Amino acid sequence: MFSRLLKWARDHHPILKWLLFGWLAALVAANIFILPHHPHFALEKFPGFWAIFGAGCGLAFVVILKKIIFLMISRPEDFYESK
Amino acid sequence: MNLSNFFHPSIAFIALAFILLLVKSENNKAWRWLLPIPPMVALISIIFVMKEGVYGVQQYLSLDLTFGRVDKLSLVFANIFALQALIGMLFALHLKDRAQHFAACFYIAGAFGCVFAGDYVTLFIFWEMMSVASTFLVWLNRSERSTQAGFRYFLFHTFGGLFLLAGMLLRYKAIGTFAFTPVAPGAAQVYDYMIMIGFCVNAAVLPLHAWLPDAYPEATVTGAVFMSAFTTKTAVYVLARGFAGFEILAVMGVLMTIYGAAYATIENNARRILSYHIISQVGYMVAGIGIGTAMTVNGACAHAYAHILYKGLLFMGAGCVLYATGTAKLTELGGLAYRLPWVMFCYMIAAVSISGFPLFNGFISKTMTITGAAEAHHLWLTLGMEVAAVGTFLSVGIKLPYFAFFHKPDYTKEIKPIPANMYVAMGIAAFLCFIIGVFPNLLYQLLPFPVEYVPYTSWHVLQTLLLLSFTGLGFYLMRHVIVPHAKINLDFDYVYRLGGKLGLGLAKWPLAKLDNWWTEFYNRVGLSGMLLVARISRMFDEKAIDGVVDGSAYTVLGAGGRLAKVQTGKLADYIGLALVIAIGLFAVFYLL
Repeated sequence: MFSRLLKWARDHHPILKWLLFGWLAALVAANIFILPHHPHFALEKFPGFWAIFGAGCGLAFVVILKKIIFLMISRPEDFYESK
Repeated sequence: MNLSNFFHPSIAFIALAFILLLVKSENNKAWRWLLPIPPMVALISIIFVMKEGVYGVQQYLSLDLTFGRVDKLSLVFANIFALQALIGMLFALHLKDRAQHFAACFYIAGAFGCVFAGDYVTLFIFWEMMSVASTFLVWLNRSERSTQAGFRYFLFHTFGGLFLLAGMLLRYKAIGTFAFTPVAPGAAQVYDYMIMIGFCVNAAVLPLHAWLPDAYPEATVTGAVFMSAFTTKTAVYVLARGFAGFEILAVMGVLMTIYGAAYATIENNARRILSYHIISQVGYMVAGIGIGTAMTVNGACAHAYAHILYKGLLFMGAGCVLYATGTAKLTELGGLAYRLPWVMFCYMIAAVSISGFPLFNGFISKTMTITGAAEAHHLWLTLGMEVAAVGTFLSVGIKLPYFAFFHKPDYTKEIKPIPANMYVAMGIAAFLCFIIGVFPNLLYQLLPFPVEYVPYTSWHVLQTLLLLSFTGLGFYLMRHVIVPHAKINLDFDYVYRLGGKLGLGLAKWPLAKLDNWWTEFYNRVGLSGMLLVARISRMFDEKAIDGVVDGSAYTVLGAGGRLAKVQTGKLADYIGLALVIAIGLFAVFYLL
């Protein structure tokens, strides 16, 4: 069951991509109508704040860690054994 | 002791451990059914028997040891410990290796002992019992790497234990009691901070955390499931009991949440990713305790409860992958969803739980801590926890399963079939993650303070979905950048590995030199003197003593032979032996 589903998903990944984008758009649209009653952050009252926060943090996380920090602190797998 | 209202769960686990000494490994089809009994006894005891109060106060060396302090805080931790012990034992049901079960029993018994301990002496005894037993769960993986990692783990925990010991002795000297009571943040003394450092080692608070991602990935498949539940959460419990409201904990906790998620993002070994993520998740709990309002302490306890379930499930999932393929490195895996569909399914339940998706248990506990922090007006800490929530979903929620289960190229080598009991254990854990997420009151009613928080409001749900879905978009855009590499990452363990090397260097060069010189000196000066003494005493011996002592010589010979057997030259054996002797001595003193 899972394998057939997965195979279908692999063969039709453009559909999934558009489903994801549709889902994201729907969430932001809902955010226009549903806002916090007592915002803890001033920016929270603008629709889409948490969307930008999530995407921004996600991108920043990957770029900073993988492109900068990883290059500095990664070592070969046998680093501790070889010495 | 009033046994009608209290039965100590540790007794059941230690009893099982001693029964296991009497059985044969190859008969495990018969004795394996004993394994789930102690957890069930514990569950029944905790849910139906125990009433709040103080039980099991024993006189020992003129101290009052309290083995059974039962209140709402100890009960919520004992409850989840018993549940996870049951799940872990079911997961390990197929194992023939009695030693692993033996170590697990003592480890769990230690955790229960800590939870119910009412004074620092009792706490310390069980604390060290956990430390020794869990070291064996690493060693019993029986590889070169696990042996070394086990030693580092044990040394570091001894270091933490000594802080705890020194703190509690100084405290006793100062205030004359070992009672384990809360410390007011303003009134904390140096000895209180020493105790806190001891606790922080086990809670993997930065920068004392490196033992965790060092040792857990090297533990046995089933041992890691137990370890993910008990060591750090026992530490969370004692911090909640003793040090609620310490602001330093709030700040360190939030740093932990981000640090753990960050390392998890760049790691390659699946079990090490999950280990780093324990640091991140325990960070939420430590932060909740540090903020110290009723809501955040509740949040910390709720998060500990939820975390034990889903982290255990994550370790079971990764453990199954390791068991089936022989590797946990993402660079060597891929497309396993075809081959291990149910493992993938259970793993994904845990992944959405840890990420805090609505309908799963992470949602009802994590949002509680974060909202509590916001309502206590700690906006920066709140924001930090939201950043960590993004990192969590990115690393454990998407990256790990994507590269293990979905990504091409598929893993094509042979796969070892997974025993049914492993699936049963994962199924139970997955069910609990879901059911607690849907009915939060199942958990909320156990919490130490009354709960006013309502997780399922339209805003909470929408905010969470926005945050996580757009994190998903971030991953989608960055999926070619985040690809794992076959490398390891430096962490604070580098420092003490370096210290170890320096020690070794010192032993190799100056000390070895000194030793050589001493041997030379001894050969020349000492030995000739000794020979003279020997000649004289032989004469005395032949003339006077021979007749008398022959009998005792044989006795000494026999005892020496037996002693020689114990001296295997392996440090691991000595540590185990020391524990057995300590328990024996403790029993003797107690009976006297």
